[in-house]
Amino acid sequence: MNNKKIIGIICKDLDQELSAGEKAELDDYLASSPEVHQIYRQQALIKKHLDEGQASMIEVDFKKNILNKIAMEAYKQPQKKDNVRLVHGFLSRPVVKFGFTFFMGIFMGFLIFSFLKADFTGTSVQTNQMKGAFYDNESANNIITADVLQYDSPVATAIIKVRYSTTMVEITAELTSNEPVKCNFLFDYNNFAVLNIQNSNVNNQTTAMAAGNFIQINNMGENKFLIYLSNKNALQNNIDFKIMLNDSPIFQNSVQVNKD
Amino acid sequence: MIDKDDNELVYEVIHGSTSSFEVLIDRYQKTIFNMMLRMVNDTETAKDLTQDLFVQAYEKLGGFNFRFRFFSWIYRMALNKAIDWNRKRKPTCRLELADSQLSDTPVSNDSEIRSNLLQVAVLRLNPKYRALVLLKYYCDLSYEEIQETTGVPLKKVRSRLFIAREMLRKELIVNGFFENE
Repeated sequence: MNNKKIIGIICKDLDQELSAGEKAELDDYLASSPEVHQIYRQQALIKKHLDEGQASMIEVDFKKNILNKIAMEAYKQPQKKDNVRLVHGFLSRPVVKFGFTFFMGIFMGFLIFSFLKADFTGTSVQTNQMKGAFYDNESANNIITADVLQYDSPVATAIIKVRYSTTMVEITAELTSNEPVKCNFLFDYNNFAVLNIQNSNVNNQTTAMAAGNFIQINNMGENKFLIYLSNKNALQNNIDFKIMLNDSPIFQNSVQVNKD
Repeated sequence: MIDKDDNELVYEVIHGSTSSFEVLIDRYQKTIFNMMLRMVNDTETAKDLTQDLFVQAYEKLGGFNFRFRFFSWIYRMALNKAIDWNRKRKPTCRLELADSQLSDTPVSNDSEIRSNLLQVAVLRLNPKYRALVLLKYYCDLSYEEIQETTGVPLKKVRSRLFIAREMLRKELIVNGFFENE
């Protein structure tokens, strides 16, 4: 016998909510078990007294006291509130709220990340401790022409213009040859370093290469190069030029820079 | 005014009618006081809590949600208030006060004795079950209305009430409720 189930059926019956099937089941229990019968009678008596509970309620009248209390609290009028609010403000829309929260979260994340990654050691590097050099158009200020070399022969012609400032040397080389010739620029790597070789007007049969202490142009046809060297110490130094045909020099000269 | 629906009265109170609030007090003060009394087991406390509840309800009426019925709103507030009060009260007081209500009223016949024994048994129920018994038999709410008031699912309301009735039966057997039956 499932006691919980029987109690349920008895209570349902007393509440007059029993189905026909359950009623038959309850009748079986009542007929077969005096114990169930006793529970039923006891529950019925409890139900009867519970139902009378309302009748035994104490009468009260607090109306005056309550209204006085309300009056003492400055008779605050309850705030009016719309029953139904169909139109919501743009900012109060959930999508705006959540979107704002989401983006603020990302922003805060970035902010925290950048603070964590920032270098707060406070070490500042002096200008003279910096490595490397910065070249710009200011580097070519007060540029002075060192020399212009010219070579003219049936094999090749060359015009080499050398200018210098305190920081850099500019070489303009205009080479013309009907056969392949090599044009070498030789210098001391303690004094100069190659910054840039600019092909101003170069055909595809011509190449140029540079190393620590020389530049070599393998020339064929008519070409123009613009070469920049860094002027490391601004002391008097020479740059040697050599034009070679089949590895035999046909022109050789040198230009002195930093003359003053 | 007397025939008006609760929610109509609430609407009028919100729009400045104090007399409508008086009608609401008339309608619910007796039930709420008696429920409070059976929840806190002390007449003076029940009086105070009932009056406070109505003042609080008046102040909060502005936020009343008209999707619900007034009785479920105020009964829920009353139950929460009583449960809060019981929670804050020192546990030692509970036993001292347990039978005080019973001894206050002189009894004359079997029915009154039984009624008092039943009240004591109700007071001894766990608040979870007691609240449901009070809503069902003192506030005269249906199972559906209890569900609306307490937020407890309908099936659970039924089963808890059956359990409560069985707990009452067992308690009443010990108290001699069924003697001379």
